Amino acid sequence: MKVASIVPRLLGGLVVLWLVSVLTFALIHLVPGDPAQVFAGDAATPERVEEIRAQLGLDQPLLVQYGTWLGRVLQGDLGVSLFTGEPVVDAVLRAAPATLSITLLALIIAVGIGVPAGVIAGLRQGTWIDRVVSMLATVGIAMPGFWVGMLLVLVFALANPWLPATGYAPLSDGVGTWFEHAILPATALGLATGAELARHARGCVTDVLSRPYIRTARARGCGPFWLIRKHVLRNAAIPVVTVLGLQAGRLLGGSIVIELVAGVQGLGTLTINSILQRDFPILQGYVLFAAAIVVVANLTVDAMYGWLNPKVRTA
Amino acid sequence: MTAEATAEPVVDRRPAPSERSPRRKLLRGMIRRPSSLVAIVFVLVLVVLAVLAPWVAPQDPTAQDLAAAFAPYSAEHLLGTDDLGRDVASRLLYAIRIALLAPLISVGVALVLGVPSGLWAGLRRGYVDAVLSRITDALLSLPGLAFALAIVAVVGPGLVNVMVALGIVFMPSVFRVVRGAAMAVAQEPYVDSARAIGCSTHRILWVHILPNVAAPLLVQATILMGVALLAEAGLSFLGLGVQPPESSWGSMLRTAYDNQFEAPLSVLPPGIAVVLTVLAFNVIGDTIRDVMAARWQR
Repeated sequence: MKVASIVPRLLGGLVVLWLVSVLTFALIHLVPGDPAQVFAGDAATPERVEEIRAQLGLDQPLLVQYGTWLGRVLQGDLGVSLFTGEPVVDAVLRAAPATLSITLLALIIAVGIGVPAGVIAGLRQGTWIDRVVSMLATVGIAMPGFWVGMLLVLVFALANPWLPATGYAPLSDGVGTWFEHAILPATALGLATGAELARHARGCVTDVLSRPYIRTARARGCGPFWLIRKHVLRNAAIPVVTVLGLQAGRLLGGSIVIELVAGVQGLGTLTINSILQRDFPILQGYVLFAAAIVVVANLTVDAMYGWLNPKVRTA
Repeated sequence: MTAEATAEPVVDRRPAPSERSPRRKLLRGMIRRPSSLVAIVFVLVLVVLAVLAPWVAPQDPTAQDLAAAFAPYSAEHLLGTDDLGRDVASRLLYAIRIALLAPLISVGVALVLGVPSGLWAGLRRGYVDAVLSRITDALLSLPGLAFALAIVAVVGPGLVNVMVALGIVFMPSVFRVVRGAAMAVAQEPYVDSARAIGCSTHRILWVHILPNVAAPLLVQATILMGVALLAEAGLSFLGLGVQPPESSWGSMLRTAYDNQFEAPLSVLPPGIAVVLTVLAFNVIGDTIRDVMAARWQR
């Protein structure tokens, strides 16, 4: 991919991140009433309220506050938790590996099952395989991930002692141990995405198959293997990859509830606790981090377009 | 849309043009398909049950009977009882009200925010469009649930707060659909013609633009109903949505989760209720899209 086509996309991503930073910053100031009082809680002494006000810089003009806040954020300083006093960056980075590794595994499961299933259904339109895949995909989209997680735990951990019911093991404990803990939540998380991908892959394949160039390729004697590999999959991949980019945010959001079910101390747990405790710096840190990940995911998708579609490369 | 690009001789197989209005055609198309007929009937039954809940519920959904906690399925308690001995079937029935009203709040908020801004951006273009599109891009690049949680953190937990927050999260998708449809319609010659013969902007908007935006909007709104119900279930599961003594299917799932060792099967009824309802919304949305697409393709 040419540098010239990457630069505007990077800039676009930066603009999005900047807007997110404004929204995140605005979070605190949208709290009805005096934010310092709200964070301190109803039982706080006036001294404690003033302390928090000074700590968050809430006694300064809004633009100055945003400037200082953004300056610190750019240097990797997101403030400290109002409860534990731990730097936000440390808290987020401590929780991130669990969430990200489960999300990544979910993505692999979703792509590994959803895309082939959708492609096969698209190639075998109208057969029983197509009908089964389409039905499963429709049901899969309608299922709450956390409920699927509960069912999986019920079957694979409680009724049969095959897998651990809750908890998370870092990769440093060994891939096997990590996988045992991550597979159930990842499956629950990836299910809806896999179903979505299957539907899209099926739609794209049926669409591509109806194009004139497929008939042309067949007419000049292109065998089924090369037809599918060179013409169908390549062209169907583009919209599927687009959907994949949109799913990054969905997976991160879905992991919040699934972490609770799976007893994983990840970003989701961190966020839920920060909301219940009104620990806004942590919440800001999470929102920024999540937005950054989604922006990176979308940039990756953009880069993949160039690789998949020569027309974009020169654009 | 491209499926028609074949070299076969063009044979007009469509039925003679009828005098029916597009709305009637859509309805006919939907009732003719078994899956969407079932979905429509299912949603209608839910509406009736929600309205009639006090009369059809076998028992008071909040009546506790600790002695009868975790009772199995029986004639007296069709779906057993929960941790406080409350009748699960009755609670499930009452929760239909929240399952239908809560998504309506979100979708309503999303429509109120997204339709006017989308129309404006799509018709006027210019810098307003550029700014609004950038903002919605930013909103779309946030994990929806995380963004909703951030809003909930500001305004506090509670069903209405959560659903309004979700409505704001859904706004960009409505904005995009409306903006795209409005942009496409605005380029049609008949809009220029209407302007040329002196139609007011207001009239063009109501007579020409909105009816053409309505179809994709209806699809989007129906799909969002399902998404909203899923999100409501998740947020109520986390304890941020519906607050006791009220209960939704999501909060019932939480009760089931907290007691999964005593009554492992109690995760089934509320979960199945969520799946079936979301499925019904999605099937209806998909069918509207299919019927509309078939019409546009001709």
